[in-house]
Amino acid sequence: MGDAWDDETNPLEDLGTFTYEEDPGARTWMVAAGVASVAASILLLLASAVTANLAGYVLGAIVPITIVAFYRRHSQARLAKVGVALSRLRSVATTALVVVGFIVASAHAWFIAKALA
Amino acid sequence: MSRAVRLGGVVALLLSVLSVGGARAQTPPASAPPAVANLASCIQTTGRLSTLIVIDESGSLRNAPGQPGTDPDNQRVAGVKAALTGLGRLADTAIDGNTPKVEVLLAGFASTFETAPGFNPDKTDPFTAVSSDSLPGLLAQADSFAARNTGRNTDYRLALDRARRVLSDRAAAATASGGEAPCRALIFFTDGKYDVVGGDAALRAGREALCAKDGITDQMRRDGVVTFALALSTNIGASDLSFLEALTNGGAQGCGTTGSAATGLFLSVADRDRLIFLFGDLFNPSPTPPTPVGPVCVDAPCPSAAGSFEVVPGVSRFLLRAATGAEGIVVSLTAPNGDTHSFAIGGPPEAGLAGSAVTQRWISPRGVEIDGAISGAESRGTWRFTFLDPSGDHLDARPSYTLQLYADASAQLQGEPKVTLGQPTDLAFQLTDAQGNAVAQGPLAEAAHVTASIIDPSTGRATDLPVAGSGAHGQFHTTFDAPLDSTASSFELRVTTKFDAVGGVEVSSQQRTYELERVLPALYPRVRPSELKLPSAEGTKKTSGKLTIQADERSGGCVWFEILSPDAPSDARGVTPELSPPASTPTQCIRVEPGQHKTATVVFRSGHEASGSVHATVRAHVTSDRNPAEETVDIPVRYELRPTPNVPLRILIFLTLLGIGILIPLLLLHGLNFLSAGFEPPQKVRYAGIDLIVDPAAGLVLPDGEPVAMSYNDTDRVVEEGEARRERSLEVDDISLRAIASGSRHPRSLSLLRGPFGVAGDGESPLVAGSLHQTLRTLQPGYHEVPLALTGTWIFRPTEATAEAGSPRAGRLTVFITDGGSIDQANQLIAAASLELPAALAVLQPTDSGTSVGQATGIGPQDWQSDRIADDPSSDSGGESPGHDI
Repeated sequence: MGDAWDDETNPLEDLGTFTYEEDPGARTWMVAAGVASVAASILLLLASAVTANLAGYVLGAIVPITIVAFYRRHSQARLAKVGVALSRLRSVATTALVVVGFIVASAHAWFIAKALA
Repeated sequence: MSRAVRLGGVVALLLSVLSVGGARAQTPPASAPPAVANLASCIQTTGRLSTLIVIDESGSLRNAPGQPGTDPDNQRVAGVKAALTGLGRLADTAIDGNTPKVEVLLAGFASTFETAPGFNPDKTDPFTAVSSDSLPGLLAQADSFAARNTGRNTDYRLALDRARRVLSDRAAAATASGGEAPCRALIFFTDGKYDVVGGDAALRAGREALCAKDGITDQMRRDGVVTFALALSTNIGASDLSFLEALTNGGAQGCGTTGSAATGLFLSVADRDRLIFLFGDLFNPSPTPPTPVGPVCVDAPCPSAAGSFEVVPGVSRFLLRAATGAEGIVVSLTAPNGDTHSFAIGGPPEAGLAGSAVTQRWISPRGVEIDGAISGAESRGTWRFTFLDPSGDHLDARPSYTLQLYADASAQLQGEPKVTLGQPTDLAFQLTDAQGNAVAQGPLAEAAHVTASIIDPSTGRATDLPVAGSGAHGQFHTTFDAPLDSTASSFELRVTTKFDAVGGVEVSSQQRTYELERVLPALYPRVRPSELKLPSAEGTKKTSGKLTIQADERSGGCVWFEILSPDAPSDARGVTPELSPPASTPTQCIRVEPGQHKTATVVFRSGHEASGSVHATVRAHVTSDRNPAEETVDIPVRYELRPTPNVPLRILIFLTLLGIGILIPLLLLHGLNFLSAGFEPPQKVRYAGIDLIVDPAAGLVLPDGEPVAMSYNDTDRVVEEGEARRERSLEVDDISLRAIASGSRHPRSLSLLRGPFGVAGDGESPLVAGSLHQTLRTLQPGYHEVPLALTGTWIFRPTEATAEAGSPRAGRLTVFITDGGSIDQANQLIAAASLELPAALAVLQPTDSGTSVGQATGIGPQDWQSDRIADDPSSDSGGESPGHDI
């Protein structure tokens, strides 16, 4: 690396080696997994057993929220390291996924509550 | 409302439609098993049937190493499907314009009890209305039980207790507004003896719960549940089979106090291939054993695998049920006129032969039902069928089959006769078809014989009536003398029409049930209705019904009531009846003048919430002004109890689950943050501290004005000795470094989604930091984010409190590099700092302690042009722009 104080040296070029790291990319598979989880939870609404409701509850709330949280966390790390922000579409999609999953999980939670009390 | 013949209807469906010959008897019984007749009468009375099919899921069904399974090829599933198709025929068959509403629910049990999947918005157990439309879905549900064979234990107590509650809850829901409760049938299949976790003590406790007075079986019988227990007896000993039988009807060893042949039917087979017939013939009044044939033919009829039956005038339907003995077998059917059709899996479901519609339904790869609706003269004569194996792969297969013929004729009661105690009541019957048209011709009708019996509900006594007449005219008659000591408000009349076998094939008998209303002698007030069907009661809430007293036009009278002890589940802790007005003695009687009518209200309330049926009797004592003799009429009362939902607890559970649903992911993230919040092992990091001056014009220079240059010797390890491990806090070159997890106290930042991070500073001295690898946040005054990796980070602390904008600023720069790495990294850090520091120092602001600190800014490699972005730790930027933090 050259002398940063040399007027004839362009410091931006010299510092290029540490400005951006390799883009790890968006973890789309995580969103897909969340969608699959919520879809499975919706299907489990068709079941009558409490165990199915418990599974649906976990798949509707805990799994997608956790997945989306890690996805957003990864997106933050990606933003910090390589400066690529989460797209608005993905941001809305993940938020919608959590909301839908939580609504479905709420239905499962209500059915569980009805079964237990 | 006049006391009318209420039940005309639906006949023998249960007694006939469901089946063909069976496996349990060598000779047809003279009349239907009492449990079957009981259920058939109930269905005709109520027009509704709730059927719960409970199937054993224990692991003994499947093959295991060294232990062959009892039903490894899932013949029980074929059997269940045979029962379902029978229920489908029952639900689709209209007689006298009525079709019963049949619903079914499948459930499995082992050490647990679970119903089959299905959707019900109320989330009560999801019974499915049986129809031709819903049947495919039900059969698919049954298929799912093929894989449900991994359970442990065979917990009869759990299964029967849950089954009782499921059926009771269903009846309570159906009668929430009053009316007839549906009839209840439980079909219970098992391949194993009663077995639970806990050894002999648990077994004894379970048997006690099942068979004690007012135990589970008694409660089922009080609820009117007719239990059909089917056992695959391969692995069940005689005493265990006897116990299973006792559960259904009391049996020889006894179970409960109210078991009888009318409360249940026990059937068992040792050959699983016969399960299809066992299930299919459940409700058959005259089952015959399956007829074996074989071996099968290849592609043309041969005597060894053939059978035949005759269709004569009056026969409306035939049902051929076959176990083919192997997969790929085809049933070739030839009508009297020579029409031939081969029924095979995957073939068209319906075929026309001799003008008759013949349908096939394969209930397993080697089980089929062929159902023919006879129509037209061409259909009369000999029908022949043959089992073929076109592939030739299973020529040793030996099918077996059962056949049943149905007659479109049954004895129908004429008029609406009423019963008066002590006086003969004439009862006339006419043979009619399904549309109510008189039938008096044909060999079947001419050979028909009719039997009748009367049941007095007040005593439970059944009396056979001698029926005279001839099928040649289609008319029959008898007389009923109601006993003077009866207190019944009505009598149940069961009429059975039997036919001779045709060509050795049984023709299903037909049963109709009627209610004969009792009337008091002339001049007495009338009390109605003859039976009170009250709305179901939730918890300890009351339920009530009204009785109407109508005086004769010519005479007044007086009525008072006596409520006999209600029979209720023991959990209800007694049921308290009330009467309004309180006309419970002759002196308190309700007085009605000629032509006048009044009402009385009866109220029932249980002492504790329970599940099940309550039976009571309101005894009305009636006198007439013109006849001092007292008449007594017993009015049966029935209603269902259902537990009260615990709404506060329900809401608490719901909210708790919602909270858990949110908290668990957050706690998981926090836990991960906490565990990973630590600086890189300080033994692997070197640092160097340099006093220098930040000159906006010249960059970083030493105090003597010389350019900053660094060698490896200028650096030291952060920690020289000790085990290399991550540290949560460090002191380096008089700088405090702390690893922060979400929710940490210093500083109190909740940054779950960003993950753990490092913080430099003590909150009092100003400092600015930067990294070669990531954007760093300026946090609360006197703090700055630093990477947990530390290497590739610089930190600058001004030693002058303030300085004019654009003027040089003295301070100390600390850089962190990798131990053993190149000194070039340190020089890169100095270069980076020289680019960022002038802009960063320009926005330093005073702190509470009077020094200056960095403004809340985020400075990163992408912000070379001092295009800094405000970073408020308390806000969530959504992560949509570079340099933002959430």
